[in-house]
Amino acid sequence: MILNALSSDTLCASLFSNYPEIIRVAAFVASFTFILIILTLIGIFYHRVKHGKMVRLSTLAEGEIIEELNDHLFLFDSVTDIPEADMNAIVDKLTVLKNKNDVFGQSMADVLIHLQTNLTGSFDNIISSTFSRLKLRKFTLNRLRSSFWFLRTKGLNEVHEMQDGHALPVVYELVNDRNPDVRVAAYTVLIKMKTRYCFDFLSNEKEELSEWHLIVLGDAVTATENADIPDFKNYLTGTNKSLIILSVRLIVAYLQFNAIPKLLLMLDNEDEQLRNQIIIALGKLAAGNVEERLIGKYDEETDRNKSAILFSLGQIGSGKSLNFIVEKFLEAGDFAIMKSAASAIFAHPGDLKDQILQSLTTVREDHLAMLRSFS
Amino acid sequence: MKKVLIVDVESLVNRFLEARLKREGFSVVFATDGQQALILIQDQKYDLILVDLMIPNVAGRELIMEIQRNPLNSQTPIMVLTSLSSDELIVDVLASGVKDYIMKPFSVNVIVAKLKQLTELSMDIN
Repeated sequence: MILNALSSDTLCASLFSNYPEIIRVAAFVASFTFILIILTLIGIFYHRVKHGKMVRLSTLAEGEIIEELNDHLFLFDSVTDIPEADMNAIVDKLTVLKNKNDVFGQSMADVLIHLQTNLTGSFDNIISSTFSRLKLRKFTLNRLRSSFWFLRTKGLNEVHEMQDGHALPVVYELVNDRNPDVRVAAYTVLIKMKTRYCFDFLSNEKEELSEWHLIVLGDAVTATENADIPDFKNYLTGTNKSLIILSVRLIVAYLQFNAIPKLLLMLDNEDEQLRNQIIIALGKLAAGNVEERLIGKYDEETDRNKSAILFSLGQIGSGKSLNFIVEKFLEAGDFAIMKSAASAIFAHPGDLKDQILQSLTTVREDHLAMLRSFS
Repeated sequence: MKKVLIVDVESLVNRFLEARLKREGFSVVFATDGQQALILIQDQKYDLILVDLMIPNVAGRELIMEIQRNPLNSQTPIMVLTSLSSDELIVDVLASGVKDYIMKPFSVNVIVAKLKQLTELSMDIN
């Protein structure tokens, strides 16, 4: 192909030898571009054909593997019901299938991981035992060591799904990966597998994480049953704002009331977003003794945080701040503040709320519409 | 042989479920979207219909109503598959006449037991 390109360039040069230099350069660039386009199209076509072939082969492999699993392995309800000799015979059969070629091996690992992820009940231990006996871990390890970040992330999910403790040393290495998605996936695996220092990332991670990462990590913590939950107030002094926000949310999730004094001190933090999260947390913790402090902060806060304060006062709902909430509702010019104040009024217990609503007889039309939308 | 219509997107788990149900003596028909399911219920009476609420083309809830209006399958018990754990949704779905629901990820043994129970009930009633 390169030879062709060179010869066509030479042809261009000889064809255009009598033309001005600019025309010759243009002819060269045009022919070079044309060859590049052709090469790119051939490349795309080749990859499409190759991908199509791979997809067909994987579908075939998946079909055969599912059939084998159904015919021999999933006849049993639990791994303990399978006699050792039978298990060995089944594993031998599956090994033959696995060794057919790389596509079959990878498909077998993928099928077992997929079934482990999407099925519950007694098949769990059959799947993990088969995965281990077939030595399919090497496919996960290959992914963990891949140069593509998305394959490393996929490999990390597989480690968790198969509860593969032997892969943990590689997971610990990936905690220092350059890609934040991979690091977050590694933290998630360590949390879900309840490893010893799984919360160290709250003080070690240097880069600010995205909101999506925080949701993933928060879910990983709260969805892990019987996890050894630390005192999250210890992580409020770090320098990574995103992880302080995550710690605040986890304080709320685990109702760690002992963190309230520290949260109150942080109401003076210079970061507006952090103060916002703390105001929301104090409301969710329904910390009755913080109302005065929140009311004291109201005038110096941004509109967003004013809304958050009113909303939190509503969640605390003690009735002590009701006059303040009504006052802010009546003087509100900002729609979000008015809405938060109305929601705070309606968050109060029935008798307190009714008393206030009855007293609000002569209010502006927009206030009345807002109250109606809540009732 | 009891006929079951499963309305769900194509997946490895469904292929696995299909093979398992066939072994348990069910005849399984798959519809991978709501439109296909609507066509299938016009021609055939099923002993049970298993519907995922999140299917392409026709919303799961809409499909349930269509099945209940269909002369051939109006009495067919419907079971719902869902990965949404909202109480409100489940109460709502059960109130619409659905016989039972299964949360995803599910246990194949449980789903097979429920399908057996519902199809037997439906045969008794018939």
